[in-house]
Amino acid sequence: MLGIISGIGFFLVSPRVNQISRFDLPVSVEFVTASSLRNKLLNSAAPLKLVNMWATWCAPCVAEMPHLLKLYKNYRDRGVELYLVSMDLKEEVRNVEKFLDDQGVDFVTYLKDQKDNDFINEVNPDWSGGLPASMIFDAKGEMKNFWIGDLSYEDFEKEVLRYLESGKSQ
Amino acid sequence: MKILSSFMLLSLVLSFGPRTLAINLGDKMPAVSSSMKGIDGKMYNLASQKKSKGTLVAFTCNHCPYVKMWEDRLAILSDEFKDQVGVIHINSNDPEGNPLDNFEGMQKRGAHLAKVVAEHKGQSTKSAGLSYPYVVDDNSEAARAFGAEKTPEIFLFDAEGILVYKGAVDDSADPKDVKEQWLRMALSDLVAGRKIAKASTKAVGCGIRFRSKDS
Repeated sequence: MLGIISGIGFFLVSPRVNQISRFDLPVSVEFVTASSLRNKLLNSAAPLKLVNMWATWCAPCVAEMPHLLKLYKNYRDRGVELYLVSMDLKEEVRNVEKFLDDQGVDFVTYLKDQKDNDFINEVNPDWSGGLPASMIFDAKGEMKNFWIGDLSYEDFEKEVLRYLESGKSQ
Repeated sequence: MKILSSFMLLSLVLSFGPRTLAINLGDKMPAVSSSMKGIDGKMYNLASQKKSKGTLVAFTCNHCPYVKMWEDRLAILSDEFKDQVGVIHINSNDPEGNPLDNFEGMQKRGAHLAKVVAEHKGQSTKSAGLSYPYVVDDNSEAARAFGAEKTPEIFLFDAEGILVYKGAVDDSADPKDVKEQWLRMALSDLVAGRKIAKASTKAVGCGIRFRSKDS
């Protein structure tokens, strides 16, 4: 089920910076709570922010990751920002970084540092906890869309284009 | 949470594909017509698992890292309450997705958990067998009927077959961070005849890989 929820969002962009990780990889993983992510998102003026909650142990999430990264590569010049939020345990940060490095990720990503149920309920009380889960936020930080389940590149692109175009007309 | 809720202005629902609807608190246990084969080779019917205080249905599997982090606590709880609350653990995953979830894998997990329970009780692990059924849902009928999405995911029913607890085993996959033992609390309330204090939590785990309906 795809729930579209409008509201002020709370996840922030992953600016494409060459930050060095604690394991000397180009990718960087920052610990966040739902609250700190919300603050990051509110501070971003990017026209479209795509937030994806995933985990290394979640097979559909792993399958979806290349689509997300391709989308980000193709649309970041149009102001699309990608926030990858790992739901792995904090102790798994090294595995998370290695996985992302293998995928070619070289920007800041996030890892939940909060109890699962607290994080899930703060992100969206209607979220069952299923993964992957994705959200779209507009330039004002309003959550425009929320869905659970993996998408193809084409479906991701449709969603992004829909909101990029609707943002222009506002 | 209040901050987020106040931000939510409207909520619409669309769908990218068919999904099953999960049963909710207060709903009756769904009917599942298929008998399911246990790791002991016997066939089990879901409805007949009920004991005097109710039924504990756990959707689980063999491969999922989150299942592995919770499975010892779930096995110990299941054994502890099994005389009053009928217990059944169900694997609905299609092993085509992960061979570890096949029947042989289930037997290995069952043998491991039987030893865990025996050690916990200070008993010999040599001839330990699992004290509750771990069955294969070979057409994923049970998972579809319950609307189960993840492993591990818990459904606890009272003696009348009404869903009284749904969600996670406890508040942390990592055993050292557990502060609230939600399922233990729910089982204790149920057995004592009390209203379940915390009846709904959110299960976190691996998505069930459904088998085709005609498999």
